[in-house]
Amino acid sequence: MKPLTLSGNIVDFKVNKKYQDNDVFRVFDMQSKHGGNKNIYLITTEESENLWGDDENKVYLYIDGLYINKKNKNFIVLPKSFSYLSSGDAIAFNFSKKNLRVLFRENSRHNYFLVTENCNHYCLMCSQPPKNLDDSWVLNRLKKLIPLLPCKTDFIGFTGGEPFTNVDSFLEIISLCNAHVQANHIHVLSNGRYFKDRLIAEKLSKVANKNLTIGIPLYSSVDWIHDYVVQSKGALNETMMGILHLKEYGLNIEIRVVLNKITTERLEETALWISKNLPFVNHVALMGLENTGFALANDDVVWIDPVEYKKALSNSVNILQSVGLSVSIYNLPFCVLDQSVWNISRQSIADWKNAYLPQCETCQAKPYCAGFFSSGRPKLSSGITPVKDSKVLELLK
Amino acid sequence: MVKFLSQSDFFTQKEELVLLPFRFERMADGRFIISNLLGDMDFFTEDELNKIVNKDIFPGDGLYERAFSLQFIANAPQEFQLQTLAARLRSRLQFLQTPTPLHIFVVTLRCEHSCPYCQVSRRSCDKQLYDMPLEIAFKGVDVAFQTPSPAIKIEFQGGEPLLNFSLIKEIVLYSERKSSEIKKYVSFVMTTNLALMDDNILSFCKHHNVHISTSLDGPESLHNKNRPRPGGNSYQLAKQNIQKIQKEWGNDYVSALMTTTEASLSDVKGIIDEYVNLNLGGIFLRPLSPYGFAIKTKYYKKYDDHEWFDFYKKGLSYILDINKKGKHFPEFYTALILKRLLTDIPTGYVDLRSPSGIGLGALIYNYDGKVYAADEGRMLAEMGDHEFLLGDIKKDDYFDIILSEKLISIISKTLTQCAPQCKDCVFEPVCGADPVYHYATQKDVLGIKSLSKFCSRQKNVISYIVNILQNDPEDAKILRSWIR
Ligand code: SF4
Ligand code: SF4
Repeated sequence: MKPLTLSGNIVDFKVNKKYQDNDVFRVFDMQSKHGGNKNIYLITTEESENLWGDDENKVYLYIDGLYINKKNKNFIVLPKSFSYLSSGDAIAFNFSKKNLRVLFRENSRHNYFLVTENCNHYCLMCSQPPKNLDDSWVLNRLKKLIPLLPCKTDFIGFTGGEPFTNVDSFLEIISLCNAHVQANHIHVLSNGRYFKDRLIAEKLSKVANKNLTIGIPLYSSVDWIHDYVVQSKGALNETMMGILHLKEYGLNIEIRVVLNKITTERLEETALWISKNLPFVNHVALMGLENTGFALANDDVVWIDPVEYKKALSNSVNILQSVGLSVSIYNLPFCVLDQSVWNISRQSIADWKNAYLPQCETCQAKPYCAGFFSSGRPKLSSGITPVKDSKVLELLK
Repeated sequence: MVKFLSQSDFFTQKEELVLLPFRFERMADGRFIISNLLGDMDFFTEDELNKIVNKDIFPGDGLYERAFSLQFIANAPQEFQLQTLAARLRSRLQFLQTPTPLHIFVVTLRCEHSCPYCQVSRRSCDKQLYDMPLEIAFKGVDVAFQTPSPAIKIEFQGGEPLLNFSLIKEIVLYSERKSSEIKKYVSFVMTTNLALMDDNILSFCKHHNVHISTSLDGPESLHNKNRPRPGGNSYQLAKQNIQKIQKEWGNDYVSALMTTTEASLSDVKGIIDEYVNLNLGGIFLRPLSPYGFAIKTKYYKKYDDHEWFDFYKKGLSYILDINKKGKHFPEFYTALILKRLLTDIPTGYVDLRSPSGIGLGALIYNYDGKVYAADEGRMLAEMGDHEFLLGDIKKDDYFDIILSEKLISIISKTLTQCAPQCKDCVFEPVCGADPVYHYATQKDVLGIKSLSKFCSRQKNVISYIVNILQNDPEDAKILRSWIR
């Protein structure tokens, strides 16, 4: 699947001065009113949809420019690549730069919001390398976005950088989520270090609902190995203290282990250590390396062919599961995994991330296979072999 | 271009390195087992042990990583390891927050069997003398419901409890009323040889969820030899009734225990096959206990602990083979040890914990109203020794019993955490205080551990299991599947 265009340029627009840069608009389908034309939408910055009467406030969104009615007081024209937009989606416009970014797609199962690019880690294989700059406008934009989301949605994710860099503002966002959206799952990808301060864990517990999970990367049971991977001395200590405090306040925790050359060298030891010291976490995610961002620059230290850790990975899964932990594997194709773990291998968390190779066409497992990242510069395992025997698919049921 | 730091920039400095508490023991092959405060353990060479003790280890040398992962060493300015260990220790001792979950009622001493190693039963038919009276039973239930534990289990024992089933019915009904009144969950189990089982009893048990625990010593000839009764059909009756319960009620409602006698030693496979064929879901290869008539009749002395350990090892390897063929069939003693080795889930098993489970884990209400700290305690009492007698239901309540000087003194005297030998023992976190055993064999609740067969058995079994876990991945995988 081709990745969707999430940002791009505005073709043409005319809007009331009250609309400013970084305002967030919610998309409404006009199908019923405009004879099923899928290229005309109404968009609004208001939380309630009862304000449609007044023409001053109506903003028309045209895709592909064929049907523009320039008599409209407010209109925006977007290129064809945005024709996937649909009712419930949310877009931020930057009028001075004539560009836009799609922030939320109702049809996506996994909407992730970037909270900040600031981070106290500098991981060797970071896929979104952090930046040290003031980007508080991102948080402000999120504050406008959350109230516009559909009142029910399955999943909302927050990533960074480190989302808790600006603790109070981000906690406000979580409260907004709870006030406006009934989400089945809210997932925050955090390194957990801010929770070394028990008070912050307590504050989070006051705004968090049961649906919130903090996903925390953990790379080793050994201090210097974890610290080296995240490039920050003392990181393991703070992350572990953070996890203990989150647990103390009953918050849901997910542990994420990215499988690279360094972390897989002692993978079973790490798994055993997690099984003994952190058996209370809600989920352990073992994740194939995304070959993008810093992973490209550090190719020689982080890249490893997944077939090399095949056995260690299945043993680790067994160790973790034996104490009752729920475990999933992400971002790794079936053909490099031991069959005993196929049933916990999940397709990529972002739907545009599953790409396949020509030889995959003959593979029985393709419909369920996580495939490869379509982003970055995928490096291929020597173990890619189409699955011919459809009987093994039984394992997936 | 971004700059990344190298591995050595993150190495712990030698002066930051501290030792955390750990214990070690030399094995027969010269290797050492080292264990952290909570029983995470592995094998090391003498040289490796010395290096750890002298902090002669360096990040990247492999030994540093193993020692750090097992929490033998820490980085002094960092506190996460100590905090993690503390949190885990709290979970391991959680059973202290829910004292006395198990209450055993000896509803009668009478029995129609005459097993030579039996500790307590009477062949007498004098109901007046050896049955528990109703008012004592009800008082016992009242005491049981006074325990702080949010869930209690009531176990019916004998003698043969089916000889006094009418009392069991009364106790069940009364407990159910109390349970809904004061919102404390109650479950039931009855230990019976099943010879007197009938449809009415089974239907009552099924209706009131009274689980069945029975005895099965192995194949017919062995079982009947161990358990003589008029008619010589103990095995027949047990088997027939086990199958009947399984068919009419379900496999999970009946379990069996075996007693290892001298005659069992040569036929561990036969015994295990019997359990597999009867779908009993696992087996407990337990040694004979040194109580009551087993001592009096010298039965206990008939085999030594090495013979039992060989029996256990042979049995375990046979059981592992059965599991390899795809059948989930645990050996329960191994499973208990594994749970302690691999998890911090507090164990309910009274002999494998410290503070000991006597009184705090279980109380025994004898037919005559006397309350004992352990089942074996009343067996000793039958021989005139009242060491474990805690009180009398006719005048004492739960708190009189649990706070009695006697119980407190026995428990505090036997804590493995500070008992001689145990406190330095590598297996301590996985082991337990067994005051009753040591009293029965050494007339001392603490006991000299180097003379204790309990101790040598623990050392043998635990190191045997740790060895499999570390060195045999295929068997280890099976063992891990037993802890849940
Ligand atoms: S051949 Fe392709 S589709 Fe099949 S398992 Fe491998 S990567 Fe997946
Ligand atoms: S009883 Fe023996 S094995 Fe158990 S802790 Fe004490 S010394 Fe160690």
